[in-house]
Amino acid sequence: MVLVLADDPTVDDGGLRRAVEAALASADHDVDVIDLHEGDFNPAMTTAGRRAYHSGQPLVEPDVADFGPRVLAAEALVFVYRATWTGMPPLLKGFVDRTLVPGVGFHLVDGKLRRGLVGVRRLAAVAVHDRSRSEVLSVRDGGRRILLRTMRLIVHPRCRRRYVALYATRSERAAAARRRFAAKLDRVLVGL
Amino acid sequence: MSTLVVFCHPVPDSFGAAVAAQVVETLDAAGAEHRLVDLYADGFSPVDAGASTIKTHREALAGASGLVLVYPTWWSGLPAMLAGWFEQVVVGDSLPRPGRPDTSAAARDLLANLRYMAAVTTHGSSKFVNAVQGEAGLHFLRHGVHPLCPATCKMQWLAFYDSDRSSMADRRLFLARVDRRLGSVA
Repeated sequence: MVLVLADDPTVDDGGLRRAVEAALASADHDVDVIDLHEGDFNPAMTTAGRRAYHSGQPLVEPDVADFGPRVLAAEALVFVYRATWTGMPPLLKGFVDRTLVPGVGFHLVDGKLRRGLVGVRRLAAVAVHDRSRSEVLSVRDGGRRILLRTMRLIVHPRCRRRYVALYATRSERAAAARRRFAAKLDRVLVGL
Repeated sequence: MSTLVVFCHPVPDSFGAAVAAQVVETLDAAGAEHRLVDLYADGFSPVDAGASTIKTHREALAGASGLVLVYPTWWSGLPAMLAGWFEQVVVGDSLPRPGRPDTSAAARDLLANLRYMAAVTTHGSSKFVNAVQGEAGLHFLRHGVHPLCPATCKMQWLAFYDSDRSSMADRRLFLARVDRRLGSVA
């Protein structure tokens, strides 16, 4: 399992990370953690990276070079993030843009899209939203759309997809929602 | 009032750059005052652009009557760079809060003078594949950004699909379409 952490550990005292760690502690997964807040990961596609995009050797930059083989070795991909206005944080969108390139995430055969991550049979997104569920739905939840729907075309055709979300973190009923979120997180990550 | 053109593409000699050049040419021909912001050339940081840069961008946006976004669609959405521009420049700390849908007032103020907004974007795969993938970028702009603009603000979606298999003729046709459509609102 490759766990992609894109939440800021200084926000909410790293509560999201601790919840994920707690859920994984009782599970029997071999976890490879990619922490995008560690090191100098640059979310913006670089000029060199874009020029090498169709070259067959696309991961030319050192900050993404080892992400390719790690993602290709995964049976499960789990994305952990705090939702922003555009959906997922730019840091995570940058990971998707720069890592899941032709030759890794997918292949282009005569210009047609072919699956690249056929080994991935489990896909999960764990998101914390400040906004309520209805507000997130009204702007069409860009994070969920990309991670669980767009991604569907490149993983195993029968890949299981799960979305674990906490909404309205600042509302008065947040405490109960948080408990339900932790319970669901536990259930989903253990059973993934 | 002028038009703000936000261009986001890492490669200066790409088709995306040709599209941006076409946008500028069209605005010139229409006699519309405009300002081009090239996020990559300016070295904009999608995660931490710095207070003074954000302030400059906000001033440009607040004074604009038109907003034209020129970018490649990656993974059905905006590139991280342009997403970072929206997060920092347009919303910043004013993300809407639960139970109070209208706390995006700061974003509304920035977009208050817009008469039109246009997204000019290239997609590697076909329109069908993009429809299956969910068009996250289109949904974000149409349902996330456009509702914050004044009620009279028009939105144009100028998309070039299937660019991975496109010929030069297809590309010229697209540039002509951009010229025609954008010229009609600018």
